[in-house]
Amino acid sequence: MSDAPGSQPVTPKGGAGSASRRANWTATIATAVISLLLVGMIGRVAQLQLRPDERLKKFLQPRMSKASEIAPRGDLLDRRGRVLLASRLGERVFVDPTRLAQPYDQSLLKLSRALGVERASLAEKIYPAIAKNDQRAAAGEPLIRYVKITEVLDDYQIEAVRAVSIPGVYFEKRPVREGPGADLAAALVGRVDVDHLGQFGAERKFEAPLKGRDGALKYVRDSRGRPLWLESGSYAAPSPGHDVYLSIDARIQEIAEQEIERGVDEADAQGGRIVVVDPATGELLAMADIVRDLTGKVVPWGKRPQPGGVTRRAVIKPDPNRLIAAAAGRNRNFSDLYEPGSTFKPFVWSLITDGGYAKPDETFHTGGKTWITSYGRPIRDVVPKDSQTWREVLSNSSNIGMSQASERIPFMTLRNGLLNFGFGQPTGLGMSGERPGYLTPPAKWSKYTQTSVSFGQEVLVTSVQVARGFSVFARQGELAGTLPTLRLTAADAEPGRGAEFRRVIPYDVAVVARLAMLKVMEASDRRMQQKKMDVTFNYKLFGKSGTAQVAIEGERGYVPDQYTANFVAAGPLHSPRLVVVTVIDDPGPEQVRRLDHRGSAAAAPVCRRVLERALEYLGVQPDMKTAQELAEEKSRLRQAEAAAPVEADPHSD
Amino acid sequence: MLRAGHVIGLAAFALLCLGVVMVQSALMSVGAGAVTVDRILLSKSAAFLAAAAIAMVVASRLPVASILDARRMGPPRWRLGSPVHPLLLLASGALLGLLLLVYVPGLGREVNGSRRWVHLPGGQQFQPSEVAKWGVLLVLAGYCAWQGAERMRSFWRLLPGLGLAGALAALVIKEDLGTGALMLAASAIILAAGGGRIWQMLILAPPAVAGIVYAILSSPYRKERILAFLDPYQNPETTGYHMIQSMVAIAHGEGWGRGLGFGLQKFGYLPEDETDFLFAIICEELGIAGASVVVALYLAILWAGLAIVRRAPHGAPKLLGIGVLATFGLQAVINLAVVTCLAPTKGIALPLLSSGGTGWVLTAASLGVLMAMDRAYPDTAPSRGLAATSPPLATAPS
Repeated sequence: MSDAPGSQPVTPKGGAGSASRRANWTATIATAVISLLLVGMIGRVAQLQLRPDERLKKFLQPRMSKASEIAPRGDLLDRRGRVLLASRLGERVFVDPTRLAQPYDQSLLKLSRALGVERASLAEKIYPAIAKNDQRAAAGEPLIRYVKITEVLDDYQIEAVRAVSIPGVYFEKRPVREGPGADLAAALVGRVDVDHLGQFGAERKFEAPLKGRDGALKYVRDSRGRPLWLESGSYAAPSPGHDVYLSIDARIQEIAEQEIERGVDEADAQGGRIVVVDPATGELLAMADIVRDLTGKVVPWGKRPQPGGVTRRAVIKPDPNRLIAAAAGRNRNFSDLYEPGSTFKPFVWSLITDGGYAKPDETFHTGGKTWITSYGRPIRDVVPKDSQTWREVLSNSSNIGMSQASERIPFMTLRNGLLNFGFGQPTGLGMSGERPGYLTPPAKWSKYTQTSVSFGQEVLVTSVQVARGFSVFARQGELAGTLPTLRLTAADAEPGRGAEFRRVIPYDVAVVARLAMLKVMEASDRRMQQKKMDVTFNYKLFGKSGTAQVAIEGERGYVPDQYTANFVAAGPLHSPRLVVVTVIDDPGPEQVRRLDHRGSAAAAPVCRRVLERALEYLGVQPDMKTAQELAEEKSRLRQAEAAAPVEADPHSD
Repeated sequence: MLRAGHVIGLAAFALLCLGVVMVQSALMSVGAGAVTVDRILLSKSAAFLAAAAIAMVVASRLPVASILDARRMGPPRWRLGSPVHPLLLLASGALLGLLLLVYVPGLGREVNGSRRWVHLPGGQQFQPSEVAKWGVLLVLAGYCAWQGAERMRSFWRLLPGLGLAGALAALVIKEDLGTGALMLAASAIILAAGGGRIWQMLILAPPAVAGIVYAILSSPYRKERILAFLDPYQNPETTGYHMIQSMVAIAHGEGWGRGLGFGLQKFGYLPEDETDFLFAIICEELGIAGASVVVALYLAILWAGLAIVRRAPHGAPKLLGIGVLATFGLQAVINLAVVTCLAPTKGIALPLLSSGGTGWVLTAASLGVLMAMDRAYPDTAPSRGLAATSPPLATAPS
C-alpha cells in the first residue's frame, strides 16, 4: 500500500484501505439515511397537501374578504325630467385615534382649521376615544380605530384636509342624496336613511327600482386585510338603480307650496294642506303640507284651556319627526283625517241624482232657516231659502235640501256609492302612514248617519281622497264620471296605467254637477273680487267649499269656534286639467269673527290662485273671457302701445 | 463527460437560482410592485448567488490534496500523532474565539432573545456559528487525518476531537440549538469516518444529551417550541402559530401548487417565509413537484459527493468531504423536518435556498471543495474496488 499526498502518513493496523473502507462505509450509511429522510419529507408534503388532517383543515379557509361596491341610486325626477333628488359620492372624515399624530392638540388644531370648525368640537369626539383606548389597552381589549368626525364635506374642505395631511386622519366615501326635492315636496319625495335606503315617501315606495344592485367583490387579502388580487368570477359589477319619473311637476309643486303658505298666513291658521291632481291620468302633480309654529298662542295638544289663558286649541297632532327633517314628518295629506263638511255634498248629490231619487230641476222646499227631519233632528242652512231646485241645493250648499233628498236613497246605496268614490279606503298609492278615512260601518249606519253624511259630517277623509273623488267630475269626455287610479309616477313611465278607471256615476250626472259647482265658484269669485283680493280670474273653474267644526281625538264633541276650512276646485270648466284640494286647519279667531273662516273665504282663494298660475304654466288657453272680450282687450293694448312715446335706447349710437 | 463534480456544480447552481426566484416571490408584498426579471437580477439575492457561484468556482480550483496533506501539517516533531497539534490547536482557538465574538460589547447584539450575529463596522454582519459550522469540519478532518485511523481507535485520541466538537457545539447551542446539534452530528460522523469508535462516542452521548436537554429547559422559548411541536393546535394564535401556518402553506399547494408567485402565506401569514421557511412557500406555489425537484437536487449533490469521497484516499480531504456532505444533508433534513412540522421550530436555513449571504457563500464554497476533490481524484479505475484503493495520485511523488 503506497503512501500518497493526502493519504494517511502512517500505516495503521489494517492499512489505509481498511480506514478508507470504514470512512466510505460511514459516508454511505450517513448519505443513505439522509437520503431516506429527504425522500420521507416528500411523503410528508404529499400528506399535508393531499390529505391534511381535520384539525389543519380548519385553518385552510380561503384568505378572502368581501367588499361591496355601491350601486349608484337612481335619481328621483319630476314628470318633466327635472331632478328632485340625485345621488353622488361624497367624502367624510374619520380619525383613527391609535394613529393620530402627537401632540394631539396640534393635530386637532390643524384639522379644525382645515374643516373650519371649533377645535373643542373635535376634542369632544376624539379625546374620549383616546381615553377609552388607554383603558382598553390596559385590559387587553381591542382599541377604538374609528371616530367619525364629519358628515360629507364640501370640496374645499376636502382639499384643505388633504393639504394638511395629518397622520391618523382619513377619508371615507359616502353616498349623498341631494337636490331640490330635499325641500320641495319633501314629504312626498321622502328621503333615504344613513344606509342610503329609502326611508320615507317616494324614496321608500320606489326603493326597489331606485336602489339597483350593489356590486360584490371577493378578493384575496394579506394578513393585514389588504387586497391582493381577485379570483376568477369573484367580481360582480354594480347594477345602477333606475331613475324614477315621479308624477310631481316641480313648478306646480312650487306654486302649490307658495300659495298654501300664503293662504295659511292670511288665515292665521295652524296649518294647511294642498293636493293637485291631473284628473285625466290620476297623477299627483303637487302636494304640500305646512304646519305653523304657534307655540304660546294655542293650548298645547292634549291639554285643555286654563281659565284666563288662551282658549284656542292645537288641532294638529304634534310631529317631532318633522322637526328633524321635513321629509321625516308625516304627510298629513295621507295621514290626517278631517270632516269635509259641504265639500262632501257633490258626491252625495251625484249619487242621489244618479239613482233618480232627485231630478236636477226638481224643486225642494227648504223654507225657513231650520227643517226638522223625519226622526226629529233639526237641520239649519246658512243661507235660508224658501225653495230651490235640486241643482241649486248643491250650488247654494243647502243642508236642508241635502237632508231631504238623502231620506230618499237607501242607506247602502249611498254608502256603496261613496265607497265607489274612493272614500273609506286607501287610495292605493301605498304611501306609508296613509289612513283609509272613515265611513260608518253598515251595521251602525242610521238615519242620523244618512243625514249627517249628506252634508259631510260623520265621515272622515284625507285631502288625497277628496282630490281623487272630485276627479270624477273633472274628467273629460267619456271619462267624466269615472274614478282615476291615483299614481305617483309620471303617466308615460308606465304605459297603459293612465287609462285605468272605474265608473262611479254616469257622464251626464258628472257634467250637471260640474255646472252646478260653477255657480259655487262664481259666488266665491265674487266675494274675492269684492274684497279686492290679489287674485286673477282667467279661467272658469268649478268647485265646492266646506267648513267643518274640529273634533279632537279622544274628546267628545267639537271644539267651539275652531274650524277646518276646505275647498276643492277644478278647471277649466269645459276641459278640466287640474283638480286642487285646499284644507286650511283652524283659521284664526279674527277670521272666525269676520266669518272669513269658511272654506269659501279661507281656502277658495288658494285654489283659485294655484289653478290660475298652474294652468297658465301648462299653457292652457284662458276661457273666462269671451272671444269678443279678448279682441277688445287686445285692441286696447295695441292702442296703448301706439300712444306710448318711444324711449331712446341709451346704448344705441 | 458529466462528472460527479459537474453534477454538484449544476445542482448547486440550480438550487441557488431557484432560491433567488423563490426568495423574490416570498418577498412580494402589497405595494412593493411587480416582481420582474430586472428586479430579480438586481436583487440582493442575485448578488449573493453571484458571490456563492464565485466561491464555489474558486473552491473547486483549490489544490485540496496538497493543502490538506497531513504530512505537511507541521515540522516532523509534530507528526506521528502527538495528541496536540499546534496548528489545529490554533485553528480550534480561532473558532472558539470567533464564537465568543457575539458576546463582545459593540460587536455582538441580541436579536429575538439570542446572540447569533456579529455586527461589523459599515453595517455588515455575519453569523460566527455559520463559519464555525464549516470550520469544525476542517479542524476535525485534519485532526483525524493527522492522528490516523488506527490511533483514532483509542479513546484518548478520540477525546480531543470530541472535546473540540463539544466545546464549539456548546457555545453555538447556547444561542442556536439547531446549528449546534447539526455541528455535533456532523462532527460525530467525521470522527467515526476517521476511525473513532462509535461506542466510545456513545459513552459521551449522555452528557451531550443532558447538555442539550438543559439548554432546552433553561430557555422558556425553547420549552414553548417543544410544547408547540407536541400540540401546535393548543395555542394556534401564539406558540403554535408558526407551525400551523407552515403546514397551511404546504397544504395550500394541494398537489399541483398555486402557481409561481401566487402563494398566499407569504403575505404576512407565515413568518420567516423567505429564510428558514422558504420550503413551505415552494410547496405552496410549486406543489409536490417543486418539493420533489428540491429534494432531487439535494440527493444529486449528496450522491455525487458520496461518489467523490468514496474514491478519495483516506485522509483529510476525504473526511472533510464526508463532513461537508453530512452537514449539507443534515441541515436540509432538519430544515425540512421543521418546515413540515416533524421537528420543533428551529432557526436553521435550507442550504442554498433560504435567503442569506453567508450561508450561501460558505455552503457553495464547501461544495466547491468536493468539486476540487473530484478534480484531484478522478475516477479512472476500471472497477469500483480499485477506485478507492488505487488513486492515481497515490503513486505520484510527494
